Amino acid sequence: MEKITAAMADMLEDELMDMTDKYLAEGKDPKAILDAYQAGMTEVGKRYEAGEYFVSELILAGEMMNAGGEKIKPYLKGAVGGGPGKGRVLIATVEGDIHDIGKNIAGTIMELAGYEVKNLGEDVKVETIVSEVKSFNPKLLGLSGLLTLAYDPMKAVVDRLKEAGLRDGVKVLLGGAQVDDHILRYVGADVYANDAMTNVNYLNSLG
Amino acid sequence: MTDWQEKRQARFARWLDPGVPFSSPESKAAYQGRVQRMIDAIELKKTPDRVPIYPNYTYFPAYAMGTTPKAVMSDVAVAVDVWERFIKEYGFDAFGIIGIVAPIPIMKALDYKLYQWPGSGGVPEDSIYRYFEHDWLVEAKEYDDLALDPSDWWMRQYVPRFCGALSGLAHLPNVTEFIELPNLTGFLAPFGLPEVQESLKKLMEIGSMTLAWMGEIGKLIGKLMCDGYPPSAGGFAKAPFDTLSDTLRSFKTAMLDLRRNGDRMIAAMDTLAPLAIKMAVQAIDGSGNPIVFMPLHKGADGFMSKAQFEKFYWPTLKRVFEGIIEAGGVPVPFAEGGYNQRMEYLNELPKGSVAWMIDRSDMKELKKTVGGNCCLIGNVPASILHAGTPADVDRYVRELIDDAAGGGGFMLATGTVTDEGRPEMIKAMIEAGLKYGKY
Repeated sequence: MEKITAAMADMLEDELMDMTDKYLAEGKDPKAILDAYQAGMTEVGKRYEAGEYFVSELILAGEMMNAGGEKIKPYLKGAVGGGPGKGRVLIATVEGDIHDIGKNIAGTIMELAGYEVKNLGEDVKVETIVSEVKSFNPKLLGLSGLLTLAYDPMKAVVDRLKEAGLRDGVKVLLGGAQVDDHILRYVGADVYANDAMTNVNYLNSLG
Repeated sequence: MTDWQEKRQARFARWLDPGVPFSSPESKAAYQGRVQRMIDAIELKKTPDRVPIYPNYTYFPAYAMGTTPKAVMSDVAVAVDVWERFIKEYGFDAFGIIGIVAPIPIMKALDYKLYQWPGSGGVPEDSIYRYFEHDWLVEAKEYDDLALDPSDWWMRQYVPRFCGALSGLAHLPNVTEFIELPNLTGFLAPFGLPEVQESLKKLMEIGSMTLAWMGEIGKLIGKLMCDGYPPSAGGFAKAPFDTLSDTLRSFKTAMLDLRRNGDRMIAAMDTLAPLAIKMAVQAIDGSGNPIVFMPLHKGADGFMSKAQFEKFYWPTLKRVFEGIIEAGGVPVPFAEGGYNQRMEYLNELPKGSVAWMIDRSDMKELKKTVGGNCCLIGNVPASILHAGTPADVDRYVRELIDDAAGGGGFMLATGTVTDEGRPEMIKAMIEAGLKYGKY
């Protein structure tokens, strides 16, 4: 199984797929194969954190995980538990903005770090985000936006959370190339991030 | 003086004296004063009077003049009126590229799929256009087709996919097969196909619409120059990697291609680099303005590792820079986002050859590391322009000029492309530039 983990960690896509097919055909424990994939993903996360890997490796790791998962699934008898892991995170690109790249990278990194991430997508209405905070009860809400027109919807979300009495129960993080201290104060959020590792470090600091 | 510097001086001379009938001696002096200010900044000289104030906006003029992007995109008469009033009221040292005003009637007629505009595809009525990524280059093996014969791939594969009205062009023959008698009928027959003829008819109609639109824009540019206002750029080019990853492939697929199809990508970029140079040089030859605006995207911090940047992004971009410089042009790359991890590369070109537009990078640090070698343009952040007060803008500009304008080689601009900005904040930026930018 170390070979599976190593192939995932080293981005050897073809070898990983061939090996998965072979192991499954030989009747090896599918759960052990899946665990080896997960261990590989953890290693990918470490290499990303160390600056060795970047966005392309995260995306490829995700692709390999999905493709491998599809192969393994039919062999698994029971359900495989995802569970909340280290805690729940809700992410969305706010209303009026459709940019998804940064948000999705941030989501992947937080998943790799052991958090359960719910991604509401792009151009998400203020009320939808507020009601999801209520029902999903995340420890962190990540609001993403690239355009300057995202600033006001971000502020509206925080204002509505306050009105709904939900603000104290959730930390609010702003993500995007154009968020900074000025926008943090303007929106009334807790923290901002211009890169994906900031999110994870902040989450880990919450305990 | 080296060869490129001589060519550049000839282009600067033409830029300063464009051969237009100026409205008055004052207009001529105003035009030449503005151009000279920009030339001095590019050449890292202190200007006789002050820091130039350079434009970095798309649809801000529409909002500032009390209308909407949709209105200027729908009617060229509105666009011309808005831009003329804006440029004369605000007093930047150059005016932004009016060609970026995307005409809705033309995009609709073309069934243009790269963009959606206000009121279409979920874009709000009062917003600007949006760009949509897609894998227009469908299979990775098409990189090979592109590298072999880019015009053919473009005309028969790419264009029919992203322009619905031109889907018939997919049935065209390859023009280089039109060789002597054996291929005469084989080449000509496809032009008789109904789907090809339909697309060619539409293309002629759209061409006429576009010529009329561009005619009005061209008249405005001429009038503004006669009245003393130079355009901010005369040409446009992209980093070859951005052409692949913005336009031909979606971001996700392009990132996977780095791992899966790296050699194919590099071969395609080797083909695209000289074409980017050709496009830019032809444009500055035609316009007489040597500035080549180059918006950069995936080279910013956060998209690629250093090793990937060195392998995939920088070599062909540097080649494009060098080609434009060799021809006497001035690349003005827009380093949108942060380039704090890329500063060393920004210095790899001859002194005074490039002027970098800066967004989220550390200007103080850049002035130290890069400012001695090339002009810096920037970088009042959108966050202050949106969430601050005019006094905040004034303070930022004062500190920015202290940090970045010393010794020349600096132009003041917004860091982000401005669309729905607040007029009083942009005016505060310009006023602060005039106040603190004196040499």
